Amino acid sequence: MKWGYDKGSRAAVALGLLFVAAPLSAQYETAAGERIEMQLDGLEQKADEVVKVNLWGKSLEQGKKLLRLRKNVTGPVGRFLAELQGVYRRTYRFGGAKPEPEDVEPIYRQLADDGWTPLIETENRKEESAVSVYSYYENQEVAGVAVVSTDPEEVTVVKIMGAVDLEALSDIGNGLGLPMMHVASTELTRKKIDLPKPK
Amino acid sequence: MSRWEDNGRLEAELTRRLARRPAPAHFAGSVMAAVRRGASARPEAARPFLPRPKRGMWAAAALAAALLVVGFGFHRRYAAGEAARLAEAREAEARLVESLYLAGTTFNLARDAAFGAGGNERK
Repeated sequence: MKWGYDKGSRAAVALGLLFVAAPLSAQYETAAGERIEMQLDGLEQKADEVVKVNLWGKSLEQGKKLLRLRKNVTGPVGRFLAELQGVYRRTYRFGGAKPEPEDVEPIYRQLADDGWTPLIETENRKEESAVSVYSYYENQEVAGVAVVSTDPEEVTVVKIMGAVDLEALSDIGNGLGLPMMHVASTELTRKKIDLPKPK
Repeated sequence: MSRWEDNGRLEAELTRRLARRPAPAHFAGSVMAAVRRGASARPEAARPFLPRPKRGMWAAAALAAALLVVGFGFHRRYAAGEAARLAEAREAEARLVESLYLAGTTFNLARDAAFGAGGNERK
């Protein structure tokens, strides 16, 4: 007896695979389009601590829902949250080995390759630290903002996807009832600043 | 004279006693009717006069019990799922606040460093 598939069976299998694969590929496309898909192997290997945050879709909606329940969320921040489509963060903390320029350089290169435009780039050579702000445009409108903060102890990249209002982002601390400080993200941990727990 | 001759007193006593404990409706009346007919007032003798379970009552009771068990199971599972979802939401909110706050402070720092509003105050 010959074991094989006739044309009908093959067509049925192909159709089945198509039904299974189509939703999966659509899901991947949606996720990949918004996620931080950065290859930062050098940083990953050297870091003592890595924090990865991917908030989009259901998890983002859940977080936004709870955040809106806070009494002290102001109108501009509420509108900012409504426009939010995704938040992706990578934080690398270093205890021993410090990050070299060639470890950090891929961040800027990949942002440029992905079409992010630098808005502000500052560097403190004495302290070997830098902070940069990038924006991403779709149809000539802001569709995302990324901030990069690097120093010898920590490297942080935060991508915020959506029609980001920079004024609201600037005032996000006050809008959430948190004190704003003139510190880089890297210093929050160093100064042991704890953000209030959700009520 | 029978000991049950004084039916009025007996009915009053029976009603008074039954009022203190749960008993089927009209139980006292049924017992008294049996007494008047000459039957014994002993409880086992009164049993045939009690209202009988209607047909299908046991099936309904079993169904209700089964539904109760299933409902309780669902409730436990649902409650556990709810707690997990709430914990996820709280985690997401904490991550969201933290990330937005980091982005906001870094943006302010970059803006101030670039445009001189207060300068770089990290020292």
